[in-house]
Amino acid sequence: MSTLILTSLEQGLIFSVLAMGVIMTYKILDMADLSVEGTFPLGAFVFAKFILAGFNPILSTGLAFVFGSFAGLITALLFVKLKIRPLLSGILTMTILYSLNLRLNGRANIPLFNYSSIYGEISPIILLAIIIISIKVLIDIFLKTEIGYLLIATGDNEILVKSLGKSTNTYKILGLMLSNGLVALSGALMAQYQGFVDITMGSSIIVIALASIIIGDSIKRNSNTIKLTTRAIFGAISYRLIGGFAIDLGLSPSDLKAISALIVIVFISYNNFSTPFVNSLKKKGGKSDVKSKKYVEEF
Amino acid sequence: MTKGILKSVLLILLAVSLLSGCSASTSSKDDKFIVGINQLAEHPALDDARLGFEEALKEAGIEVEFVYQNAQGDIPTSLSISQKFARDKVDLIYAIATQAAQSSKQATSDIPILFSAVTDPVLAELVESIEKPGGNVTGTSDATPMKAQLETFKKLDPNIENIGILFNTSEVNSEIQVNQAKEFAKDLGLVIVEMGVSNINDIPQAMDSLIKDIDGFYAITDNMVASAVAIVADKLNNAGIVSVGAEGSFVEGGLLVSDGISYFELGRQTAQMAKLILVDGKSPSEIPSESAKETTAVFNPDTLSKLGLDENNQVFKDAKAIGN
Repeated sequence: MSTLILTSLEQGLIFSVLAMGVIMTYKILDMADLSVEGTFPLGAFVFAKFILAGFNPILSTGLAFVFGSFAGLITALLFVKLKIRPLLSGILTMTILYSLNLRLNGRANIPLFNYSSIYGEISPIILLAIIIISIKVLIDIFLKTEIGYLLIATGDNEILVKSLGKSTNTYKILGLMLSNGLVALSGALMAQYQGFVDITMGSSIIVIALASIIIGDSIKRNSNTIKLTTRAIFGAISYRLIGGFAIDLGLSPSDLKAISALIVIVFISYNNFSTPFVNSLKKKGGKSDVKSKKYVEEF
Repeated sequence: MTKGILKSVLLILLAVSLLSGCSASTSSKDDKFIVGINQLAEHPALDDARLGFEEALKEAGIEVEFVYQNAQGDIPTSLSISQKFARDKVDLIYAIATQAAQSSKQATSDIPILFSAVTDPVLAELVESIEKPGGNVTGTSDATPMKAQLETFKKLDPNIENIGILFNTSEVNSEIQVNQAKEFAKDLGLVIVEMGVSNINDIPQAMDSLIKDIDGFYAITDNMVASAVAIVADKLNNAGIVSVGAEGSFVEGGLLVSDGISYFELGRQTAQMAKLILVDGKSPSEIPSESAKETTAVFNPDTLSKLGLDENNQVFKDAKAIGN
């Protein structure tokens, strides 16, 4: 059982980088960005490209972030400059990246068993915890800077940002770049963890990200003190734990997908409804979700 | 905050336990071998590889308990399954399809792993070489006797020249096969017309476009094409195009003829290797990887009559009729 928790934690930590990336667009900019389905494998393929060329694993992982940001820039430019709807922009980028990922190394599956990875020296769980906490702290600090506040305000109230003489487009581009950079970083971490890169890595990755965010939201949902990043991390770990338990209990393989969807429904219902049973689980009641409004007030 | 987390964990446990109330327990008796089956996705070829393996092991009289898990095509899930098997210390992992084998290899370096339905185990870095696998992994490759299969076209009609191949651009196995086919085609005086798709929904249109340029169709062992064989066969048969499948299940799905590997037999062959490991105590590192030993020739009589071909052709005389 303890190893189950350990491996679920490890995978959950990797996916929490993904979830933290997606909150940039889904939560902060209030935009559905599907390009992550392409940037997650992009990070893995970029990592493979550089590690095969003899770069060191830390640099290769960092480069995955850089390339992911550029992919985010594509989506942003399609959306901001060419006025294509955000959803479609993301889908277009995702489709471009599919071909690009195949071109990058000329093949759809790359084994990495014989190459060094960042998990070499320290045990994965400790290393991942250090990486994820650093990323979380950096994002938290970033969101407290002037640029960070303007990014949040862009999602909440564009008119406010414009009235300050700032361009909301700049912040949308920034948000998408940061988001996709993080998602690619998550892909690179996953590639090293699973020991190979595969083109199908990205399929329905957005579901994992959104499910993680939704589960994260259900943790003490009326609390203003829990940061978005903290929620993303706990959400991603919980989602992976659910998956791990489902497998460990030997659930019928064909039911696995439906069960993970049902569990997400349970969490959403918990967020949306107040029944006596659910109330008893909650410590204090509150009526409205004030999480995002808080930032504007602070601003 | 900790209370909030505790509550969430409780909620998760509650949800999982509610949903899994009726699931079977995986614990077993001591005298049985436990074999964890990590199958990447559900489709007829992979299912056959599993069923053949299970049947042959049971026939061999070995007391085995199979723990079957299917990742439904999701790699992180496949990895979790491998890690579960490693944690449960199963006696053997049977990994079906390349990514399942790779994630099993990543999860454990001491539990023996047998793979099946992997086209090129060396390229996938599962084994060091076919003869000397070297690690804890060995198994059977589903590489097909492609040259003989392409020769079938000339036997059916010497005038056939342009052969269409449909493949999924995301499958490394498929890329390898398309390149191999091109090589063989040169010697046989055939021209390969390739059509890549990335999504199963694109197949009907891809087929419509492909049909215009071909006089024969060759179905490689591609997971996506295998899943969509019904629509592929329908398009081909309506257009009067002869088709050769790399394996029998394509013919069952409506293609004309196949003299190829049977995944069921391949699974049975892998079971013999499992016996060597479980009963004779051999290490996978000393068991060479194998390709299919036996091929089975089959044809679809419905397709034959629809295409108006002569059933006295040698190709069909040697083959067994299957399909609906």
